Amino acid sequence: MTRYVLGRFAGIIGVLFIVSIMIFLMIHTIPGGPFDAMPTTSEFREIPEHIREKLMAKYGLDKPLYVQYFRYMWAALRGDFGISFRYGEPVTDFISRSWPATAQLGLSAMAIGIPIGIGLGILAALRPNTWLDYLTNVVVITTFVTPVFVIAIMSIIIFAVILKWLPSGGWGEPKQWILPTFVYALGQIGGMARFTRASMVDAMQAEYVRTARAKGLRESAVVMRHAFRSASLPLVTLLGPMVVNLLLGSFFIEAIFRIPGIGGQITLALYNRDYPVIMALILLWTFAIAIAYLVTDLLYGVVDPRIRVGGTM
Amino acid sequence: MASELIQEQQTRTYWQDVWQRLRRHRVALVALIVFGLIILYSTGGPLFSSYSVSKTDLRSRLIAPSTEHYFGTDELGRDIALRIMVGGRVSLFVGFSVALVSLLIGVVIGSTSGYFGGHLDSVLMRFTDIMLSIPSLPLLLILSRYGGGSVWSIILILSVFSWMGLARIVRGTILSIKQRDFVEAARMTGARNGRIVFRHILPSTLAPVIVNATLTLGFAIIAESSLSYLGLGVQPPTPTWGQMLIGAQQFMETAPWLALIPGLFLFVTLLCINFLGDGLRDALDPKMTLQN
Repeated sequence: MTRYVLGRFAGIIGVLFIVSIMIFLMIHTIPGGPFDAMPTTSEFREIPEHIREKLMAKYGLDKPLYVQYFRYMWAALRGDFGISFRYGEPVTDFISRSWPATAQLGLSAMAIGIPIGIGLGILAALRPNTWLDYLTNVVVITTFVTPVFVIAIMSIIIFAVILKWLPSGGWGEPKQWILPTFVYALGQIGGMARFTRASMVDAMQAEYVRTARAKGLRESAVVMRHAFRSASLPLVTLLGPMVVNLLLGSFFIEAIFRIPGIGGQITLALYNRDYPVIMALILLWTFAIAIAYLVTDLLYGVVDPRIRVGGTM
Repeated sequence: MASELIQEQQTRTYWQDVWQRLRRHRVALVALIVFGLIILYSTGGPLFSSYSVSKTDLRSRLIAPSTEHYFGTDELGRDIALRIMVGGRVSLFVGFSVALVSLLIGVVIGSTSGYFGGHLDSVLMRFTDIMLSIPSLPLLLILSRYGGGSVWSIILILSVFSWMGLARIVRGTILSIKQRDFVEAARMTGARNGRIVFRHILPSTLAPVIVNATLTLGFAIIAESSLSYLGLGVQPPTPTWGQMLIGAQQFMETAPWLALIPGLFLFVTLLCINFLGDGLRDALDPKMTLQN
């Protein structure tokens, strides 16, 4: 078991190194640099050449790429992810400052989306071809095929522009939390309901469910303790990456609803060629996803004793 | 002569079967028709429009849908209907090209990996796994800055990130097929690897490959519009549906049609592709029918 986890960790570190080299090379070779233009109040002004050179030297950007890379990684290994070119503050400060909004949005979307999604999926599987099943299907298909920004814009038009119930953006007062949270949750509801329904339909036809019924268990016990227990297995796979994505934010939701979280920042950082911010955010993301997969695989063993790792490893 | 006749009849009946089953799938049929109309509208429509895609006309800004401009005009006075058509051309072209390119990459990698096995297989599959474990959206964002936002660069970038599923499916199918008797028989008759792969094995992977290509088409259109929406896709003045939504956001209060129309086109197109994919899956291979 310990050996398995250690092995996986080595794999994760390997992937992180590959990703860090790829990203580093990529962002440094895209046309344009961080100090090509100076954002003034409204327009972009050219920065004089001699100042630009000084700035590049100050941040070590005049060195050969491999020197820059090793310097960066050496500092990063000790927890120093550099200073944002744009904000002049350490990237770690910047992330811890903008993360709370993202986390709040993600956690509340999860708290709403996952139970509703699983509930809808179970009910739809138990009562096929009823209005509830059709409703679930509509939600599932809509969220599956529609890009999230289209849903977000449509919901703003309906609830903020036409009905005038809710504000169209911002992140100060609770009223502004409602729309983005629900739009975000809708996607989770769709994803969860889709998988729950599919695996519940399978599970309900299984022999052990018939056995459970035959021995006279209440229907609720049959559904929850027997069918759902095994049907939840594929859901565990889904949950890990989903949690990570929710916690690291959505470019779209945060940009459209003007939420000051980290999701919206990565596009800005790309525009500004803010190398330290891009590197830190993408490495953080890759790491979190890899960890999520690892936790998922370990959780498998908890949910399903048949595939517990370690015994045979 | 006789055997040729029989063979021809068999191939025809398979495709006839497929068509029969697809026709019975009502939703898929409707989706096919609507999707066809959208393609027709965006490819043929501009021929009948007297407006210009990029020329601005400040006197006719933000006109609500009317007889003259049935989808209205945008903040620069451009006819939205025409921009929808041209944007549709771009989005659909990108979508189909990405589906095609990633199909080629996926089939080549998947079949090489599955057929030859061994070290080659493990190297290729490790590579596929790494590609899958890299979060694609941020990478897409970075890479999209390379080509300067030309249609071709977007197609290339999206294709690089969408072949993995196909490669795995092809590999899986080939692994299960290559042990079958008819492949062994082909090898006995002295057929070369290339002939075995192309004539005997790949046709069996056709059904999952077509279905997966449909999914990729939908994915590519979503990804293209997402990049465009973030301002990182195909660059103006070439319109795309995603790009039309960026500008629209400032005018949601005063001119909601600006956002509604491209949003609706995007939604309906993707809905059609999804239903078509479902229908094709059922039609191409009845065994693959989802159990729900």
